[in-house]
Amino acid sequence: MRRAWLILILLTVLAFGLAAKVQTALARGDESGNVFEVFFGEGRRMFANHFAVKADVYLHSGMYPSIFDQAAQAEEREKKEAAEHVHGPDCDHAPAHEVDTSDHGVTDSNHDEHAHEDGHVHVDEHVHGPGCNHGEETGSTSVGGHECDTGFMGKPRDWFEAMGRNFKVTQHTHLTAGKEREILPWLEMAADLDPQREETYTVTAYWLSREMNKPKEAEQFLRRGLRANPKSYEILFELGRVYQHHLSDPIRARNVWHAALRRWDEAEKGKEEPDRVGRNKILGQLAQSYADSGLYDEAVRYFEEAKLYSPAPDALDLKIQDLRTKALGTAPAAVPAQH
Amino acid sequence: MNIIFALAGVVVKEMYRRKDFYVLFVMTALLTLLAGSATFFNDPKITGYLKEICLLLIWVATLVIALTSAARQIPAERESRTIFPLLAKPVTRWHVIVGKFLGCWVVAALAVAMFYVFFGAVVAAREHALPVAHYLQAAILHWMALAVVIALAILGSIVFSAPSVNVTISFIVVGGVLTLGEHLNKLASRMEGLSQTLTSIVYFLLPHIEWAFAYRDLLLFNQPLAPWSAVLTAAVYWAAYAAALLIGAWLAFRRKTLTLG
Repeated sequence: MRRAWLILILLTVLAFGLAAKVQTALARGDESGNVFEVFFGEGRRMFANHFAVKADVYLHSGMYPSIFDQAAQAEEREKKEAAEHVHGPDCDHAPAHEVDTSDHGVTDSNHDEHAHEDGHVHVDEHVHGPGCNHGEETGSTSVGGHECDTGFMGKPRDWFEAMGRNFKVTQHTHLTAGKEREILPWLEMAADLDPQREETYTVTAYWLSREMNKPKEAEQFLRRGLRANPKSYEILFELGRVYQHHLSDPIRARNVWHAALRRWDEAEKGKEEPDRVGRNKILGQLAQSYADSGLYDEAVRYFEEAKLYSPAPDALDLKIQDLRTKALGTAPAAVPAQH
Repeated sequence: MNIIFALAGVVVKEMYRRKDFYVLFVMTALLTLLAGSATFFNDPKITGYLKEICLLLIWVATLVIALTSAARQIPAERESRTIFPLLAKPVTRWHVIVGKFLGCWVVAALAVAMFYVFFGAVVAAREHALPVAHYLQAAILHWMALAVVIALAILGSIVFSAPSVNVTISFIVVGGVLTLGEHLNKLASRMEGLSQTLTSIVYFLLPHIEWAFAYRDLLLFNQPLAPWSAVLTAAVYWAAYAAALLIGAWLAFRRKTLTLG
């Protein structure tokens, strides 16, 4: 009987002690708005990527390579590369994915085969990602311009695997017609678990504003991301896009993009390899916004700067010439102060 | 056969009196409804996460019910010494094994049916759709897979010294099969020599109940029905596997010396 009382008292003390500890922590958590931080600490970040991947799994309607498939693919790719890549004695070149093919303006990761001057040939096994956008290949499908690898399953190795495929998603489809909303809970959880993961906010805002016609929610989510990442030029860039394209507020969009340029300067300017693509995106959108508002001189100024970062400066030259012509045509009315 | 049904009936009545199922059902329902009360970006039509959470809880709950009920059947009879009067009647050890299995399996069927009705109701409330055939396939596969789990736990209850050991090991085995079972052949194909042979042997020997677990994706992503022939084949495969495990349990039980001490 005495033992039972002792255990009860011990449990009560433990309960009160734990409550006091958790309550204090929760109070701190309320300030940052993140309960996960209270319970998991920094360990929560490990799971953030899992939920972001989960969102991608949903977007692909469940047809997604497992870590085992990915490992097998990587191994196969390495083997194939080792077998087919013949190095010469003077072979002194950058890896295939870093070869700059400025003639068509993109870093070349989209070609299965390309020859070098010394006559040897690379064969790249390219893994499709959300960013790649090119023609059909074996084992890939394209939905809405988004290319994905669907050839990871291959032929079943045995009867069990063949049977198992009857109960799995084996057709690659993308969520469409508003069903993209199903990815949102996972993205929100990823943001809760790792508030410093900037990509979560920009990807979520993309889907909210472009595919689900929820620009207000996108703006709020990006603002939340900015509170957690005040130095992020990428979140500011996306926020500007929401203002420009979905909330029809070009003045605010431009203000946000100017702030993004300042953040880019703070974060990237001193680096050996700054994020040129990021700066180019901001400058391009900013210049286009000025152009759309009839402020051609400002537009020209930012397109000129974009040329320094763009992989296709010739195309921008054409645009600048066009804008200068327009500026001459509308100069007296648009900018009378200059004359 | 009547003896087996009588023994199974006792198991069902015992489970009816116990609180395990009710507690797990209420917990599953509460957690699902709690998850359902959350809204993301002011969009009430989002259901995928809710279906996923609910199906996961259903699997965990049914595994707990199946494993804990099956693992304690024979040890409880031995501990309370009711096994002696039971075997003194015209009841063989085979009858005990099959009767206990059947009772646990019927309980699992009731649990699976209740859980899928609840799942169907939750989804119908959110999605305004009731794909009955899908739920039927899911429930059949789930129930047949549980036959293997129950048979495994009954075998374990004879081999291992205590129900806690049996439940722990069975959970690890079942969890391993559900999460890694389908990938072992991929791993084996990247290995060499003895490790490849051993991994392949394990892959072919394991009961592939992960097929039933994987069926959740067809429900989650509103995919077409699986072929009924495949469902039937899987059911026959699991039935054969469960029968083999029960025969193993009977062989072990037959050699087991039951003492009063």
